[in-house]
Amino acid sequence: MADRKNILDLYFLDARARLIDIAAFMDRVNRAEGETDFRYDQFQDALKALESDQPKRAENVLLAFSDPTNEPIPVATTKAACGAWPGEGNND
Amino acid sequence: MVSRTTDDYQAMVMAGCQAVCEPAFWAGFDRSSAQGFYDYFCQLTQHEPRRASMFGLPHYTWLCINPKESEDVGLAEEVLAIIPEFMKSPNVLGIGEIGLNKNSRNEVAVLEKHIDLAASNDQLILVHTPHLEDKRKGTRLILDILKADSRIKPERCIIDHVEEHTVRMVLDDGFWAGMTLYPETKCTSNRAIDILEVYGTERIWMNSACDWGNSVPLAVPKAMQEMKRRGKNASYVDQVVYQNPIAFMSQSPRFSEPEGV
Repeated sequence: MADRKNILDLYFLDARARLIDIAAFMDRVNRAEGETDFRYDQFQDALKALESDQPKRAENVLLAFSDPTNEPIPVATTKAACGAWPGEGNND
Repeated sequence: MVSRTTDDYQAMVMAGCQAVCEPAFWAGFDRSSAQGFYDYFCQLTQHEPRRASMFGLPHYTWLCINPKESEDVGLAEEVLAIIPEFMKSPNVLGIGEIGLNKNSRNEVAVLEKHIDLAASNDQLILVHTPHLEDKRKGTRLILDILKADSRIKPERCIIDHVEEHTVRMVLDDGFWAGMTLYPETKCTSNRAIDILEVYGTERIWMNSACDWGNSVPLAVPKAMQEMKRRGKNASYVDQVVYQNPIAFMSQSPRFSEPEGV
C-alpha cells in the first residue's frame, strides 16, 4: 500500500497548481459578461464530487459531464464532443 | 504512423519501442470516397511498414471505416467490401478501430457490420470508445453489441480509451481494456497508473497516441518512468507495457513477438 506522505511528496505541488488554475478559470468566468451555459452548470456539479471522502472522485467528475441516457441518438449532426452533455435533442 | 514524421520513429526506437501497432483512424477530415479508403489501406499495409522498417520497427495495422465517418452507411458498406482484400496483408492483426462517435443509429449499424466481418473472418477486434460526454453511454452500447454476438470472444477484443467511469464495465465483461495517454484529453499517465492500482494489471494495457492532433508518441515510456517513481518494480512495469500487449496481439497468427534488445 502506498504511503500518503510519499504521494504528497510526489504530487502535491502539481495538484496545487492545477487547483489554482481551476480557481482562476472560475474567476475569469465571473469577470466576463453574459450568461454561462450547460457546460459551466455541469462544471459546478462536477466540483461537488471533490467534496466526497470516497476514492471515486475522478469517476464521479467524469459521470457529472456524461450523457446519462442509454439509447442511440437518431442522427449524428456533429462529429465533435464538447466536454459536457447538452441535454436530449441538443447534439448540434 | 501516417501522421508522424520519421523523427518520431527514431525517438521511439531510442526509447526502447519494439514494434508499432496502428489502427485505421479518422484523418481529421472526411474521405470523399471508398477509393480514398483503398489508398489509405495501401498506405497502412505497404508504405507505412516500409517506413517503419527503416528504423527496425515491425509495423502492424488494423482495418475499418472509423466511427466518425460511419454516419454515411452507403459509404461504409463500400469500404467494408474492400477490406477483405487487405486482410490478407502480413501486417494486419484485425478489424479496428471500430466503435461509436456520437452514439447514433447509423454508427451502431456500421459497428455491427464490422463485428460481423471480424467474426466471419476470425479477426481480433480493436474498439474506439467515444470522447468526453459520449464515452460512458457509447462504451455500454458497444459492450452490449459485442456481447449480443455469440461468435465474439471478449478476450479477443480490446476496448480502447477507457477512463475511470468505463474501465470497470469493460473488465467485468471479460474484455481487454486500453488506456490511451494524451496530454489533455482521454487519460494522463498518472490517472492510468491510478487505474492500474485500483483494478490490477490483468487484461489491461496503456498506449501512446501518435495522431495528427496534440499527442505524444513517447507517452508510454514517460508513464514507465512515472510508475518507477511510484515504486513499481521492473516486473510490474514490464507486465503492463510489454507482456500484456504481446499476450493480446499474439492471438493473431500474423503477430511475431519482438526479438528485444
